[in-house]
This record gives sequence, structure tokens and C-alpha cells, in this order.
Amino acid sequence: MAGGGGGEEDINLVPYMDIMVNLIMFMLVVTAYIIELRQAPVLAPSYASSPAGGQQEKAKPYLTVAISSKSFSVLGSTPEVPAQEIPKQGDKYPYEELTQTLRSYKSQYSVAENMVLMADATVPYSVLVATMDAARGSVKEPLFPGVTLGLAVSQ
Amino acid sequence: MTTPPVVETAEAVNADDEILFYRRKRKHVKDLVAGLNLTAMMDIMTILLVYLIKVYADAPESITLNDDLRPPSSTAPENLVPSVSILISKSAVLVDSKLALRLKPGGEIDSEDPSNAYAPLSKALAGRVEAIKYIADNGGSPFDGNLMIIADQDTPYDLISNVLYHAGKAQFTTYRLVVQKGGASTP
Repeated sequence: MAGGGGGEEDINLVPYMDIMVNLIMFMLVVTAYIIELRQAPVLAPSYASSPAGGQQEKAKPYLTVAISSKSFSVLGSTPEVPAQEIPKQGDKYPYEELTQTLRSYKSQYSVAENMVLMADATVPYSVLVATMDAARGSVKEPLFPGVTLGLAVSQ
Repeated sequence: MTTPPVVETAEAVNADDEILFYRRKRKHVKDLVAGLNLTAMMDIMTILLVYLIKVYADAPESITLNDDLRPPSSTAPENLVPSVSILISKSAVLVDSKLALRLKPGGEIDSEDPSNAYAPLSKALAGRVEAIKYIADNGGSPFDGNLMIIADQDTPYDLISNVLYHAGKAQFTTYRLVVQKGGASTP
């Protein structure tokens, strides 16, 4: 177009390409650090003497799993459902044993599908979530999908 | 005066041809570079960029993992539903990204008035509920009472329990613990 002529020139795409490449690099790096999140629903804590979340089937007894720094304790809401303690194995909580115990409770006694979960004040959140996983069971054999959190117990 | 005819030897003709050949070849390569078609590459770039933006936008709640905040892993199958969030890290409690409480190491609340330590949290939650209800009254979506808890894996249960208690007092009824997808990696 020298001299004001009416020639046709291509648009210079190189700066646009630069921007695009930088944007793609940035997005690639950012998406690599996006973690996949899930949610575990819990029922409202019961601060009164009513059973799990106030929505428990009244006819059925319910289970309470208590987490201490030394063991899991499985407790029934009626005398017909016996209590059982599952001690820690070294430093590890026995999640698989808890799942098996809850499975046997569910098959032997007619207990509600919601359970109460309570823990010592110092029990870490990760242990709470792992215990909920152990109590939930699998997709094919669900155990206790509904969990109500109880108050923290101070030792 | 006529110029005498130039007698070209066979070698001279061959040398000229070679020079011409290379000149033409160089010109051809130059034209090729100048006219490189960027349209196809632009198409690829644009599609890639749109795809990456969509992936980024599909993450409803993006959190930055660091030593201060690392949610536990879980096998929980439910996808995340965005709602009001309480974020509990090792150093603070935030309600919808706004600071509500400062924490000491070990999860104890850093407050000048220990008897009323959770008051700022209650105030922040009540303010959030009020804002959502005001929006609902003016045509927004209604307040559904849902609350997301995004907590660090080492948070003591005492703190979680107290936060839920104060959330319950602020009319939140459904709690969802936000976890990382994967198996348990806990003690």
C-alpha cells in the first residue's frame, strides 16, 4: 500500500497468536491444579435427646459410632442392640473392621439407616470423614448413608 | 560498430543455469515462508482455549491447596452443589471468603473475649442469611439453608462441631462436608 494505493494486505496475526499461546499456557497450568471435589452430606447435629437428625424412623433402634483417641465404639439406642468396642491397631484406626462390624449389626438387628457419629474434641476431621466412608458402605451394599453429627466429647 | 557475438561455451551456459536455478529456488522458499497460512493453527488455538475455559468454569468451587488448607480424601460420590461456604483452614475461619475468626495453632480461637469467641462467626453467618433473604425478596432464588464446610484435614472435631452449632443457630439446616475425590488416606 505504499503511496496510498489500494492494495490488499493480510492482517498481521503474529501478536494475536502470541496472546493466544500465552493464554493457553496459563490455562493449562491452572487446570492442572484444579482438584476434583465431592461433598458428603450430613444431617444437622442433634443437640436435644431426639435420635439422629430428628428424622429417624421411631420404630427402629439406631446406632451411634463414637470415635475416641484409642478406639471406635458402636452403641445401640436400645438394650437389645449390644455395644462393641473396636480398638486402634497401633496408630491406625481399623476402618475395615468397623465396616464389617456395622454390616453384621445391620444384618442381625433391624436398625435404622441413619446413624449418629460423635467424636472426642481432639479427633481430626480426616478421621471423621474416613469413618463416614467406612459407615457408608459401597454403592452395591450401602450400610448407613445418612449420618448425623453429634456433639464433641471432651475427655 | 557491431559487437562481436558472444560465444558461450557449454560450461558457461551450465553455470548460468545453475545460478538461475538457485535464485528461483530461493525466491520460491521466500514466498512460501511469507505466505504461511496461520488460519488452521488459529482454529486449533481457539478450540483449545474454549475447551480450557469450559473446564475451568465447570469447577464450581475452586480452592487453592496449600499447607494451611488440605481437605481430606473421601469416597463420597456426590458432586458439589455451590452454596454458602464456611472455610476452616489452620489459621482462620472464613464465611464466603470473608474472615470471621482467627485461629491459633491447634484450632483454638484467637479471641480477646474467650467466653464469646464464636460471636464474629454468628454475626457473619446471620449477615449472609439476611443478604440472601433480601435478594430472595427482590426476585432472587430463595434461601435454601444449604451450607458447605471446607475444612483442613487436621481440624479438631470440637471446632467443626461448634461451627455447625452456630450455623444451625443462623438457620442453616443442610450441611455438606467438602472433600477431595479419592480414597481415605488417614491415620
